[in-house]
Amino acid sequence: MDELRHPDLVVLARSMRTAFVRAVEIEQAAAAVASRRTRELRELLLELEDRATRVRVTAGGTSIGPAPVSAVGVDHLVLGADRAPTIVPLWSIDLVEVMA
Amino acid sequence: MRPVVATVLTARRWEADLVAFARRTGRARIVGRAYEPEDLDRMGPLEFVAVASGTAWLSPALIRSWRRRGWRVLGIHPPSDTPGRRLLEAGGSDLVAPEGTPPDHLVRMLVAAGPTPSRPSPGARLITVTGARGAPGRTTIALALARVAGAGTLLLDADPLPNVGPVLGLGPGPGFDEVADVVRGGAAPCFPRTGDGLAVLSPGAGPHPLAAPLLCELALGMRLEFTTIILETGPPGPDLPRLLRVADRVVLVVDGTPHGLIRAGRLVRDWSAERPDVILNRVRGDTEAVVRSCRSALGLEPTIVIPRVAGDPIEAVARFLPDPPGSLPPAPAYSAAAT
Repeated sequence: MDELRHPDLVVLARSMRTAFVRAVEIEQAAAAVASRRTRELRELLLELEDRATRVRVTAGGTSIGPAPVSAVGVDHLVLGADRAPTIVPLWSIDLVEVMA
Repeated sequence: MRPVVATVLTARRWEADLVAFARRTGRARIVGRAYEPEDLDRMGPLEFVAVASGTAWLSPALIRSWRRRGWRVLGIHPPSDTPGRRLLEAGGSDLVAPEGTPPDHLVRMLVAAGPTPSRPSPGARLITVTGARGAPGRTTIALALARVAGAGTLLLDADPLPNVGPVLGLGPGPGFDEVADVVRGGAAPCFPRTGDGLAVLSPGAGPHPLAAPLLCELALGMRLEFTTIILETGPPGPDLPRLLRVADRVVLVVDGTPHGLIRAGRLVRDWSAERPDVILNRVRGDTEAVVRSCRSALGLEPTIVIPRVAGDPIEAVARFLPDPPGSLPPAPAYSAAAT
């Protein structure tokens, strides 16, 4: 009999694998929570830009869009096409609605 | 070319560094950071998935299914983790690099690889069959769906008291753990099969401590081997939402009795997944009245109504189901449950 295939070793390996998976899952869950807690509006907008997602932005009581996020600057957001963009200062944003 | 990348969230440093680098320089489009495999489906068109070898639910079969969908895989492993590197290679990862590789080098690797020219193919459709406690007929409906789907179907029986095997006259098959070991090793598991080619995994053991992640891993990893995968969840437990999220379609089996409708109503009250296809099962008496009660108790229109019938229940149920099961009628509009 192959000693490395002893039934006890298989059970032991499986229980160690289970413990490892649990540890990795907890680590991954913590990473997800940490990511949510530390991210900023600008990072969310950058992700929306990369996804070419359409959004409706409310800033200073005015609703803009739905329009794609075409660029995110350090302090501003550009909505819409290159020819007629709308530039929104990040500090003025009240609400961002993400279109499905 | 700016590669379109989704990363899989990990506690390891490389992932956050890659995201931060891509966002700072704009050299890659990071369209999302996945926590679970099904998150990738919601991120729109993808070219690359960057994943750590230590991700709990990663298996060679899952990597293969991603590649089948037209996504290239960048696998990152700890420098001394030979089993982790082997796992990535066994799945056929397009790019494998050790942790510590600078993010600009990783992005260069993505750019050099370019998007895959292959046509995306998601593989098997995954249909999850669930229902409230009280034996509404989940197993019967799952078996009937499997019979209608025909050869190339895998039936996963996740009921803590599984009875698919005995119903089909199959001997005890491998357990979830054993199949998971084979899948993680990069091989194709061997399932007991019925005479008409239905593959069955009905382990006949109690719930596994990692049941939902393990089942999702198996279901997603087996997508290349089958055309249809039917997952019978057993009575709803804390794992149910996770099992429902991975499904392409969810079938909710409702016993057509007052008790059955009340139990199903309680289940639907806490429902957080996509709208299910309701199969109103074992309806007796005035069908119209039972359908009205279903609308009232669940706020859902039944997709299929099956009367209580004598004889072989699987044959009888299969007659009422459309063929194939992925083409169930579109679910009717949801309406708020009446009090």
